Amino acid sequence: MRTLFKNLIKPRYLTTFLFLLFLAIFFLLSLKPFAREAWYAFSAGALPQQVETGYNADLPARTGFITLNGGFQRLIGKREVNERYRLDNGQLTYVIPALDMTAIAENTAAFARTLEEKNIPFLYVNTPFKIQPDDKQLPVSIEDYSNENADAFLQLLRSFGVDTLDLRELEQAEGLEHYDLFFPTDHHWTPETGLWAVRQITDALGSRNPVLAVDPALTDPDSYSVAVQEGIYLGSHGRRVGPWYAGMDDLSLITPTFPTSLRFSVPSEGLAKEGCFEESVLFPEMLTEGSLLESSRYDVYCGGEYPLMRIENLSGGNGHRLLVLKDSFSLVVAPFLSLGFEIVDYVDLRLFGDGLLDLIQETNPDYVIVLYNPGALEDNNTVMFDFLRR
Amino acid sequence: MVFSSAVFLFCFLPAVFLLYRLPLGRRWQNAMLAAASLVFYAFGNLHYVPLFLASILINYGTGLLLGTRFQRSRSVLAVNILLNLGILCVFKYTDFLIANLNVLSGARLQPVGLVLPIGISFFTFQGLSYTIDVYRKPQEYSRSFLKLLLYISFFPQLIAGPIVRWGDLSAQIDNRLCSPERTAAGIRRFIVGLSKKLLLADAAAFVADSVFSAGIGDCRLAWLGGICYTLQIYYDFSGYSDMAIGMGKMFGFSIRENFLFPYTAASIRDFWRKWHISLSTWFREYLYFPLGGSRKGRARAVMNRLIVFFCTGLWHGANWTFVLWGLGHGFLSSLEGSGVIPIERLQKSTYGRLVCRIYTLLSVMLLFTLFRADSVAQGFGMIGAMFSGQMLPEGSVLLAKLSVPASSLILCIALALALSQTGEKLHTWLTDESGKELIPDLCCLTLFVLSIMSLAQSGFHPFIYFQF
Repeated sequence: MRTLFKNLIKPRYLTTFLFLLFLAIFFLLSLKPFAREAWYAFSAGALPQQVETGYNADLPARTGFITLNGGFQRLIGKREVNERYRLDNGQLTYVIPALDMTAIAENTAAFARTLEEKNIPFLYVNTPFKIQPDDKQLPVSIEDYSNENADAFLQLLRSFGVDTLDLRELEQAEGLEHYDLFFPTDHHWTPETGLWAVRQITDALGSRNPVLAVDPALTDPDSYSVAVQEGIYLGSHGRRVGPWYAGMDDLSLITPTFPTSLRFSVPSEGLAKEGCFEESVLFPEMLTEGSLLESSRYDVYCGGEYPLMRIENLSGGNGHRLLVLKDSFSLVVAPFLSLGFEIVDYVDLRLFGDGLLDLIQETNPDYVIVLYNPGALEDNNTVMFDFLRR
Repeated sequence: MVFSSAVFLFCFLPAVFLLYRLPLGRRWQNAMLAAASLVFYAFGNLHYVPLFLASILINYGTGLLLGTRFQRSRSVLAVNILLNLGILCVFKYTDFLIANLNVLSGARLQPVGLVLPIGISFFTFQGLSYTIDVYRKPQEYSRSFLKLLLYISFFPQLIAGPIVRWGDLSAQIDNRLCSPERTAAGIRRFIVGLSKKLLLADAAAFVADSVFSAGIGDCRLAWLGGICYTLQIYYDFSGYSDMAIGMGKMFGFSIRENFLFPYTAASIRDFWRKWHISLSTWFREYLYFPLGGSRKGRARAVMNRLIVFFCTGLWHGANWTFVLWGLGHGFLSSLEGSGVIPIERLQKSTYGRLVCRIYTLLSVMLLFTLFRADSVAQGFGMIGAMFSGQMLPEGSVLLAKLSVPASSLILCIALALALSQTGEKLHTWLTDESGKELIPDLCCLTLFVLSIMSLAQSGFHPFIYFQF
């Protein structure tokens, strides 16, 4: 072996030497993940192929490979990489097929009726999707039906007498630049858009029931300071294709300039934080923890996804209580929305499990809101719309 | 576990290479390679390891009988052939037979649904090669089970060939050279194969798969699909063979070439001298010659050729598309052999040679279109669409989608390299065994970097010939 390597350290064996060196490095890096996957598979009586599947998901320097490959794909002009599409404006997206909305609309209507029996009003809020209906910017022949699905779903809800709020209409009415509402490397909207959405929701609630009105100053962007963290965020699409393909996004930390006092708690985690806005609902450690290319910096707001997250406004807000059924878009909504109310519970049905009605019974909210992005409709009739599960 | 997977490149290959280089002698190296090959096979299909070992044991036992007490015993050989082909037929052709019986007799027999053991066609043929060779030359039988185990299970060629003959490998198992030059040449060859697979074959596969799955009867798409599949199967399979030959060199073995730039052939018969050489050699040695070859008159030669090509087609899979593909080659080859297609006369002039090249490429491409199709109807539908002149709006949409400038450039390069002498020269230049030049070495390094980058995009790149 020694003789072989001694002979190989000659210019004409450059490739051979580097090839063996590369393999040796990756072999050493692979020992731990491979042994771990092999042990899991062995313990579970699984087939060897599953070792390979697990190992591939935990490939050493995987993000490095993804970055390199993304750079190469960008160089050769590919518009699709790893099921993510590059729009004409350079932003990334995924696409959603046309789906039948009937079942989830019926589920939602049944939930609204159940709440009505308890005298709890209900509002379904539909967020915009990354792809603008009249300016899709997709590569030729790639189709997306997220907006069509949302249209069909909202139409069905209205036909069932369910109250809805379509933020896409309000966006259009205000003449906002659609693609500025989102992170270029992600499907999520930005914190600025989250704050804008809070204003639309609180206006809508106030117009439906004046006692729920929120002081407009609390949702006014001028009441907040914005600290832009430049180039620190790689969204979920970006993490699939690497920063050389996607680029990096800026992430704004929006904090109120007025005094605040909040209590943030996650019962399932035993987590509780109390203090001003920055001390309670922001998690600045999320900006530095983990790899830049693998971690979601978006979690700086609320710290991530939980089954149930409760934000109490110790200043009292408008004295009312909300329950919001959320997806990940709400991470940048919850901190701002909570400033207007006394207590807001945020439930993520993907994690919550059974017993939503028991929680409603227990907390007796003044309003129940579902705040989903049209991507959630892809989970046709699955857990996110199974509101009445016991 | 395929050669172009991360687990093979980063775990299996380095571990085996490292263990192989331990200074523990030839016996250790052979035992270690055999054990590693079984692990490699188990990663493909753990449940079939006993079947695989049973097949080797049958051939080992037969070899012992034919080499000692039952020398030149036709009955022992016949039993062995029946057992080998029986195993192959049961696992590969049972459902095909049931489906055809149902069609012919109106019966409603249920398919058995057996999972095809990976590489069964290859290891069965290697086993047969061993027993037939021992029948012919009893002194060549193997006393050592380990030696036969290594011959049949040697992982570089276990799953998708080349089909190595016993006579070619047996001496190398005992005595082979592992020099740095050979290791370096093996690595360069492996890299060339890896890049053929990941950079060229997969690019062609994307287009071919899109066209075949779309099933649009547009003539432009049909041509595009046929051409891209013809490129895909060549780069995929020859890339695999390059990797097998390269790894063979890394472990000191010399494995015969399996491809000699087949798309430069000027006749179908010439094509088969350059395409999947180990399979055509096997059929020639063990079927065509025993049937009488061309020594028993023209009509018998034609019949023998058709039988061989029928079997070649059937060997590739249990589907009439493969059989018709084989028979198509047999038919054209017979027409050439009997002078109906005047290949020799045409090749005397420049234009004639050009006509021969076009005829060969067109025939090969049309037959590969049939080969790729899911059914005979789809295959003939695609071929019909090529000559229909029909251009459909949905065809234009898919064409626009597939017309990515960079991918198109890669496919043009792949096409140019496959059709021209430049590809042959480039291949020779990159894989030159003397390895004295730095530039081809650096080119290989670049190809390796590009391949690894491509590898990250997807965790799994199956090779076409795994299914056979």
